[in-house]
Amino acid sequence: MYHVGIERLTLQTGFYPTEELSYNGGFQHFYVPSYRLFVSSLSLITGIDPMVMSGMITIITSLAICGIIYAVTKRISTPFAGVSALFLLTLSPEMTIFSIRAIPEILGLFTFPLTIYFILLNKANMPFNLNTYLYLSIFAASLTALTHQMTLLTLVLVLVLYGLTQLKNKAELFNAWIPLAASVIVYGIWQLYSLHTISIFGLAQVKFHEGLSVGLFANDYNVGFFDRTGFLVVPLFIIGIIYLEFKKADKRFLLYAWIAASLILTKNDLLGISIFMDRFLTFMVEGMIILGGIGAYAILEILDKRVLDIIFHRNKLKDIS
Amino acid sequence: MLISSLNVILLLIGLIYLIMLPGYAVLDALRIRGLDGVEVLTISFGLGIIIMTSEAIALSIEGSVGLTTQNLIILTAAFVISVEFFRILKERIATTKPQSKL
Repeated sequence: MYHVGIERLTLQTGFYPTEELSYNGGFQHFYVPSYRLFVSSLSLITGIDPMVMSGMITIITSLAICGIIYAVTKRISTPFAGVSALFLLTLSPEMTIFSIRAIPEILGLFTFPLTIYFILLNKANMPFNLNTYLYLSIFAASLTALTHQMTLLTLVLVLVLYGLTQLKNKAELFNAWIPLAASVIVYGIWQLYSLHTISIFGLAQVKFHEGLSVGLFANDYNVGFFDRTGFLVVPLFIIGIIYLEFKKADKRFLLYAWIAASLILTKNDLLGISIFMDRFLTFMVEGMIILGGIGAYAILEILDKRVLDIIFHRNKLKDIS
Repeated sequence: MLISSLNVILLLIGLIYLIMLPGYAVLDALRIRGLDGVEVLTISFGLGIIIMTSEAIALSIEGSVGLTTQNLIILTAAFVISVEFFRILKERIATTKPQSKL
């Protein structure tokens, strides 16, 4: 409930404070305003205290995360794969933990796939085609930039990697890199306003390397990757990738870029960066759940086909006899 | 008791007025077709948050008029009315164009 202080002050004064209240206060803070103003605005209009409102908003945003995971999976595969992904969402410890915490990351877990969703919907095949979906992806990316820095970093790397896979397809490159540019510019402007600098190297979290390393298996100090992701998610995720490759699904590279980017960020300690490794894992698990849902659907499709084949075979035998 | 039934009703009204209504108004005006019920709800929520956050930032930034209940209600109402006005205007233009050709 670290953010409640700023939310209460916003309600009292009517202005979003740029100075920190915690840690003795009195210095410029780097927190982006979306989540705090989301809570403050609803508190203002309903009269409910920000402390209570934070909890209520967590429930609503969790429902929205379910909705967006279904929507993204549906656009890559089918609605049935979307429903399968929702089953996996409830089975993953990482997602169940981070969808009940009243922190800005919960809003990031919604706004990041929302941007991906609009890019998936954008079927423009001409470069520099300024259509509705491009504008929507720009707005969603800008909201992500003002929601949570780690979510923004994940989005930026996903779109950079996806753009690199689409260098020959200028239209798709444009669809990916315009929202990317918008998000970086919006964040830069906000940081210039709040911290009077665009450099992120002075931030305490960057300077003092805050974050925990993620290992594959659990030990005395850390929960391992498999325990956090969920044991069922991992095999279904692999099947999902094989299925998408087999079907040559449109824009599947966006999901691959999602996994690759979040994996690089989760293991950034290997690159000597060591910042918030465990927090980036949540975004990787979110992507794995979407691919896992597609994997679960692939198994069901194969089983369904086999069952239908058996039924048809029996009917044929009956007809012959 | 931290949460009363009145709180829940207030939250639902606030959620519909501040988030779902502006979000759905934009989605409707953009004429995005082929979305199922879950997608409409989710995208309306997403667009609603984008709109509400933009309004809240515009009101609460230093040198602005301030984030108050009155300002937020007026700004949201003005936004929804403007979007609906442009949607109706767009529909009128779309329906009158073929007639003028005839």
